[in-house]
Amino acid sequence: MLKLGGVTPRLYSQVLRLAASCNIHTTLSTFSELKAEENEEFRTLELRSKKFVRQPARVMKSHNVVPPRYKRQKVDQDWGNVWPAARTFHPASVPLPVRQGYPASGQVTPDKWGNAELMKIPNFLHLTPPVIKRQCEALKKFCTPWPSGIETAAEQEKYFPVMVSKSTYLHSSPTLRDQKARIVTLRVSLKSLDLDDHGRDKLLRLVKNRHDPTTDCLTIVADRCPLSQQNYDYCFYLLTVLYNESMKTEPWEHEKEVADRERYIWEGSPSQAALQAIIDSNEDSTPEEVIEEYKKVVIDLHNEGEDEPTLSRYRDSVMKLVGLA
Amino acid sequence: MRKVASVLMMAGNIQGAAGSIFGRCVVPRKLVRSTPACGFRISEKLSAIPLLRSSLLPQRTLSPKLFHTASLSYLSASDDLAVGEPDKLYSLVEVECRGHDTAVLRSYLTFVSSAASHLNVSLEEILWPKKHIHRWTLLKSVHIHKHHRVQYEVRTHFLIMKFARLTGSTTDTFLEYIQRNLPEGVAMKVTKHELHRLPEHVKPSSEVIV
Repeated sequence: MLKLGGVTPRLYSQVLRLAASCNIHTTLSTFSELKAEENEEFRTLELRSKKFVRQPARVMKSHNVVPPRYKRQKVDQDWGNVWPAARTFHPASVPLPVRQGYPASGQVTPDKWGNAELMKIPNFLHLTPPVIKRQCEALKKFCTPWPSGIETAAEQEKYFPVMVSKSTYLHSSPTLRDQKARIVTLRVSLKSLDLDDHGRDKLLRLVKNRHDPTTDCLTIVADRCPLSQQNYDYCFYLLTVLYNESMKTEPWEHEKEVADRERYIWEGSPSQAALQAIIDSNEDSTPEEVIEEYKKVVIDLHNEGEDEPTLSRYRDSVMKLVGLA
Repeated sequence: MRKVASVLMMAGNIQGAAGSIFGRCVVPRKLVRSTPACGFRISEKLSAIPLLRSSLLPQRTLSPKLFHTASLSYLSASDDLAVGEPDKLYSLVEVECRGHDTAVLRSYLTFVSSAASHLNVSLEEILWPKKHIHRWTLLKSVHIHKHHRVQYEVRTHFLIMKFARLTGSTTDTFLEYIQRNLPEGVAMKVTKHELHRLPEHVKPSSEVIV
């Protein structure tokens, strides 16, 4: 036991505490000896350096996790307010237990939490039937009804003979514009135009293959201008010009000869002169229908060509005319 | 189209948060999604009609445009808005959608047919043309290894919807609604067949009623 010339342990401990408060270095050994003397314990001899004392693990702050939103949603809520616009799938807001994806071996289909497959695809949660109905109700005032009296195509053609077609395009690309949107097509049936034979013939020669003989429709396609409005005006300009040109008769058109005709015309033909001679030479007056039939058959023979039906009809007609049938 | 968007925004403000049409998250996207080339005529027509501004009272209703016909009468003179030009008439509006996923196109068809039935638009025909597969082969390695290749393909599915007998106002409204809700990855082509009278200097035949 260490004794410092009359200094009691109690006084010594007071000195040490004072020293500690004044940040004066004190030897540990002295302090431990003192402590041991106070508590009357056996001193431990430490030969090795102390092991690293493990600090207590850092305690993570436990955040107050709010429960997912779908747990607080009422059953009769207005879903249109929860999902008002198109949005990536959010599992905590959607109260449905949806599953999507190919399951790993031995597993079930992956659920909605953290499901990339569900998030990748476009969802239509913003377009539920009640929301569509509500939005359409709001849009109704901008719509106008179809006027009565033009329900069928025939009636539409009677009132509005011209049909103009245009296409517009909507796609995601670096540019808004699509060059194909400038193309304008105009369709009109020739029976809506006031054309005589000469006018019709001339118009068909001018338009060539833009006229479809089966439907008797003229189709004009304009794409030469950069804007569709310009192409639209050009289409109507072309129609006006074609009509007016075909109604005009140029002086050189009278130079057209029989060989230039695209169709056989009965009036003024040698067949008509020959028939007239036969009728005149015949004592009994030939009936009108026989003459008409002969005329029709000869026209068909020239215009449609010589094949079995036309030739047989011609034979029958001639027999009737001559009086042998 | 500006008119449609502005009134919808106003309607949203009037009805308030509860039961509002688009809720608070409406994002005014680009109003003219179709190309300016074809939108030119439409925007020209709209500028002739005064737009609904926020200074107007909410009770005032927008009146529709006039339309061609002999059987319908014109609007009354008490209407405040200026009498605009006649409404267009479309005998057929074809909407062709293209996408890489049939499920998306099917869902979109459900939405479009539902909207058409609410707005009294007649959906005449629905066609599903055959899908188009574009395949090509590339070399797998950057350098040599000609016998090792990799093949890619892109599948495009088509959906055609035909609507008949639409007026210009209805077409603009309906198409804008549909196009704003077009899903990602789907492209659309709209073909409008408009009815017109003969131009001035072309004489109509007796079949045409002027």
